[in-house]
Amino acid sequence: MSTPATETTTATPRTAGVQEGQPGRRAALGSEHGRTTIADLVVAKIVAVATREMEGVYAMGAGTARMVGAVRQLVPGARVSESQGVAVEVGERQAAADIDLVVEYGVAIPDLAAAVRRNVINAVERMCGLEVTEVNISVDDIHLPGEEPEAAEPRVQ
Amino acid sequence: MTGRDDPAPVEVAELADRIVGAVTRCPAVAGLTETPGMPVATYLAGRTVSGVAVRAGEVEVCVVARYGLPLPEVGAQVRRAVAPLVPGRVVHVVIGDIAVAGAEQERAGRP
Repeated sequence: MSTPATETTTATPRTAGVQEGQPGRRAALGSEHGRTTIADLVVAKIVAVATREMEGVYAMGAGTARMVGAVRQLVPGARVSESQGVAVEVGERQAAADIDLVVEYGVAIPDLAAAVRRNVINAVERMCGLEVTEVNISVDDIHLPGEEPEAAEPRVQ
Repeated sequence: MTGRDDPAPVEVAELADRIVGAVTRCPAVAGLTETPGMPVATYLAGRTVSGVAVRAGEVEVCVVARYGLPLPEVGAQVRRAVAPLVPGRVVHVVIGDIAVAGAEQERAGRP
């Protein structure tokens, strides 16, 4: 496949004062009786759910992540990460997300990207109370009909 | 509260258990968790209570939220449940993870 097409939202500046993806960073929502903090992982999962529920999104994650995910699926007990294909940066009040995905053949990619962005922003703002400054969507592959990996036929009936 | 004003160990153990009970009864909470890297736990003789840290002036609770409700509301719900048990202490709530219903079913269906 050729280089992935990247779509970026407009002018809003990147979350101020947020450092690149340190694991375990949390968003804090203060009140006089104590603060509520939201782990980065939680924001990433919400982004993943909001992306996957869109029609036209076939899978999530760039090539490597999907390959690792496919291998992990074969390991008993292991499972595919629910936030595969999502990277987030979370600050005190703002969040930004990078999404890697594979689209179904036949969709209008710019329209789908806009719809994914809308859904992600809506979900994160509603559920986390964080302002979303940026949603970068990278379409890494396209899924053609009939490309499914063949389900292994049982050899015994 | 000044200096070493930590509550007595027995009191801490009972308090931690009661907090766990109150938190798990919250409808928006799927369970308690300990986030890797930033552990939240109460260390007792012979056992550890995961997801609750009872400290001198504050209590920290780390929960797995159920997908659906806005997370600040989940935090408020947990705080409402815990606050009456710990008068005079600030209750910090950490949403450490989120349980997505679909993913859980998928997991259960897998061998």
